[in-house]
Amino acid sequence: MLSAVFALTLLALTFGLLLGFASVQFRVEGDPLADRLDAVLPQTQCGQCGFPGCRPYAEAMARGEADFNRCPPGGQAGIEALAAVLGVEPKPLDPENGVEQAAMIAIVDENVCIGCTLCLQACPVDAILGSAKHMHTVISQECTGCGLCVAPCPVDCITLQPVPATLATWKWPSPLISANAQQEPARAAA
Amino acid sequence: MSVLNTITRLWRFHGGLHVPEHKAESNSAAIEALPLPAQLVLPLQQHIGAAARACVRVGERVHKGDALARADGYISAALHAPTSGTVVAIEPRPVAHPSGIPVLSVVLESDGRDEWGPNSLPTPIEDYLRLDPAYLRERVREAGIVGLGGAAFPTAVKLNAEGAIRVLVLNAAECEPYITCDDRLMRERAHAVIGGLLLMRRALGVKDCIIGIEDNKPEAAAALQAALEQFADDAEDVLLQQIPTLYPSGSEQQLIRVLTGVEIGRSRRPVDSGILCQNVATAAAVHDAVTEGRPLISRVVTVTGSGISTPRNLEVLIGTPLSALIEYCGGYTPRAARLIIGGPMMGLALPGDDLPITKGMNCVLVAGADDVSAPEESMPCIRCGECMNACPANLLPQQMYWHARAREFDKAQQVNLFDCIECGCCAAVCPSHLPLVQYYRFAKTEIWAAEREKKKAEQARARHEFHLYRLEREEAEKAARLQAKKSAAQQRGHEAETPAADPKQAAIAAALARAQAKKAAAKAEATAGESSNELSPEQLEKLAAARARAEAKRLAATQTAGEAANDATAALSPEQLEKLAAARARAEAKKAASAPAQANADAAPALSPEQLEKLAAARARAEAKKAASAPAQANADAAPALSPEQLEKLAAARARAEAKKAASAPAQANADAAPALTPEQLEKLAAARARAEAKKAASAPAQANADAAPALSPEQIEKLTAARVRTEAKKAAQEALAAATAAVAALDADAQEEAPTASPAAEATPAPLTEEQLARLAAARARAEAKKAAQSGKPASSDQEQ
Repeated sequence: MLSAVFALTLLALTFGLLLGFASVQFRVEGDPLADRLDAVLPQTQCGQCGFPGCRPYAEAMARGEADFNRCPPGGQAGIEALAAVLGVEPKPLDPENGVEQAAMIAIVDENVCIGCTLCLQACPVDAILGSAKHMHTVISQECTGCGLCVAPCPVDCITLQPVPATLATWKWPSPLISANAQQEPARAAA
Repeated sequence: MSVLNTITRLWRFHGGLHVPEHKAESNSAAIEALPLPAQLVLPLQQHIGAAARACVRVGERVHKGDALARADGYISAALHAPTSGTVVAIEPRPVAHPSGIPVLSVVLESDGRDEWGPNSLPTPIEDYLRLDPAYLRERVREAGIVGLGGAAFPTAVKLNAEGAIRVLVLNAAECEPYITCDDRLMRERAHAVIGGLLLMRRALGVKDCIIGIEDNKPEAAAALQAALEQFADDAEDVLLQQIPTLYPSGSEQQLIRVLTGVEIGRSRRPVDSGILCQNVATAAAVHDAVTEGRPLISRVVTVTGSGISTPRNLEVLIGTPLSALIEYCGGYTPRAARLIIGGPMMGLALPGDDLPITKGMNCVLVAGADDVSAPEESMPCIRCGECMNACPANLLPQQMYWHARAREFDKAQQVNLFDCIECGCCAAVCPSHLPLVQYYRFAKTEIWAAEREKKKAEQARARHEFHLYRLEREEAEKAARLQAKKSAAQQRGHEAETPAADPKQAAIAAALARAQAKKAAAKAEATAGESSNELSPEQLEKLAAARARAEAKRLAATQTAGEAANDATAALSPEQLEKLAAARARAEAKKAASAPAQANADAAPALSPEQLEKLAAARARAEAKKAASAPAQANADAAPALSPEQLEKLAAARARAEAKKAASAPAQANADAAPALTPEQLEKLAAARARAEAKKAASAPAQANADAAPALSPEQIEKLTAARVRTEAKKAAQEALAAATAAVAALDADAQEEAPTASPAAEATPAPLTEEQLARLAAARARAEAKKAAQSGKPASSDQEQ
């Protein structure tokens, strides 16, 4: 009886020490969940989720303060990825935050631009080039298509346009979709 | 021993198919040159890699062989005018691509003369097998040659693998059904093919070559054999190897496997195994480029299929519309159902024939309705496993299909989707007629797109983080500027209120000036010695500023040291200390600005007012912080090259040295004249010293009072003034103490020993000054000191007047 109590106590102590040691020694710095969520987010920094950028949104999700279906640029695929990270069932995009659409880039109409630099300040990734009273232009490779530059423009010379497809970025359509598309007219004819 | 001797048998790759060959339709007639078309469309992107950059303008007349576009980047290929004529447009035109996206193209209207320009062709080389390999590669690059087997990879890039290659394989297999352009080329131009092979062998520095040819082309094999005999000794170590006809033995990896037994591993290239594969048509093009200087402006194209009246092979200029080829071959037959570029297994169905021939096109197949399996409605997968047996790449097509269909691309990648060569064997055997290859292409492009997006997201994240950092930094800079402005304004305020000098104060000031002048003269040599010739102007500047501050402080400390204990009021409150520090910073900034002569004496260009302002502001902050907090933190931001221990020692030693100096003699600490220190280190050092002095100042509040007069009571100031007057009497005695300088110097030496990164050569050689310099120095210093004294006196007197 006594020996059993002694043995169990000893075991408890040993493992307690071991766990304590591990919790100190192998401590994980930072918030890995927020990091993983941030890695999944599309980094457009558009703020449509209601947070000032992707990182704050990821942190809010990690704290459980924000729902994971508030990112329109990520779309349904992004929501599924977020759900997978959070270990929950995916749900549809919250329409309050916007609608999913194809990737866009901002285009400055260089004939209309007055060089006010307001869009420069609005751009979250510093993708607009220009200086006061000089024409501005968008570095298209860096533009995330967030649309934050559109509203500040006093002469409405910035428009969002879909990213043009090139041979390098073109994707084969899913045969599943094209097969369905072919089958449907056939059925309609029948 | 040659690698070729080790090849004793042929190997077999997994799977493969025996498909109906349909070669006889087109391989009986000789290659015919297509008549010159009226208009040629030359897409700038006809190859793998970066699109070429057009180097002609609309309206420009070009000769045959003139460059139209240059290679843009390493993996790129030039483009040449296939005939003489006028460039009528450079605009996006549709090309044979599944996307239907138009590609920027040069549109050339031929003038019908088809004449070579006087400068179009580089010199032909007769004795081409003795060429320098580097020149050879350059020639191939200039000629815009790409792999003509279908992939269109720039050949010059492949030939750059010099030294890494053991065996050069010439791909003469032409395994795809219907296609016979390589067969005809070998029969008719075997000499050029072998010549090109030998040239590429020379460019690569390889000895062993293997020509792999399927055994369904005996005539071509015989022609090659004859050509090899013609080359005799030059063609030594070239093995012509017939291989069994089995689709897809013409695929690079499968051909290498059959010929050498080498399995190219997962996600690896043949080059990694020391093997390079080139197509026979490419070899002939290389031969033409070197021996004739002729760039790649035409190629042999097979026009065949049951939908064509007279199938045959044509020599076609690049850019010729497909419709011209079909018209020359008698047009479509009533059976024509589908227009395919390439063979029936890997080819691409086109919507129409209004597209140009590009470098990589080897076949135009017009299939009849019953030739190729129509896109029948596919049935569900029955998991029969036939595709797995047929796969020449040893993959699991069924698994890849399921994952691609379910969009589980990571899983598809795990089953080696990217090792799929898209040969079409799996789809050909599939009893459910599943469009398997399309699923794989779909999955591949989706994965690539996801990777691109991920990369872009990473980029955006980095840029956003930098954006935030930039905003923060700008905010900080703005705050610093504001502060500097504020302190400058305050200083101006001080200047404005200049009350009539008290006679007593004036006397003190004059006495101070005299004393300083004397001291300066005595010390001139030592000061000069400190300024080592090795210091850069920036270092000198900083040094001078630091020294000026140190001197001022020391002077004050010396004056008050004796009486400090008597006059000491209660410890000052933090607010007072802060004010004190700020006031001192301002005073010093002013001093530095108003004493350019002194700066000159130390061989330093005058600092700009902005710099001074910043310096003062930074210093004020540092001192305020320091005074409020523990002195041990002084070391935290010191030079990164020094270890914390070293820094601590250094700081302690310096503090000791200064304490001693303050008590005894006005000797200059030389420790900071170390030329080995970088400007940053010097700055930090100066800051550290400033903090140490601030501490000292706090412990000697009487002296502090003098500088921070407005914050102090009139009584305190009176006491202070009295103390100063008494100090004057002791001046003479103090001057006698100058002898103690040596002792302080020794102490400084100690300090330097404790800090090994500081150069020991610092105070070694005092540079002798001229009489004139000494005089100037003394005068300048006297002026500066007088001004300072007047300043410190002013507020005090104003308070007293109240």
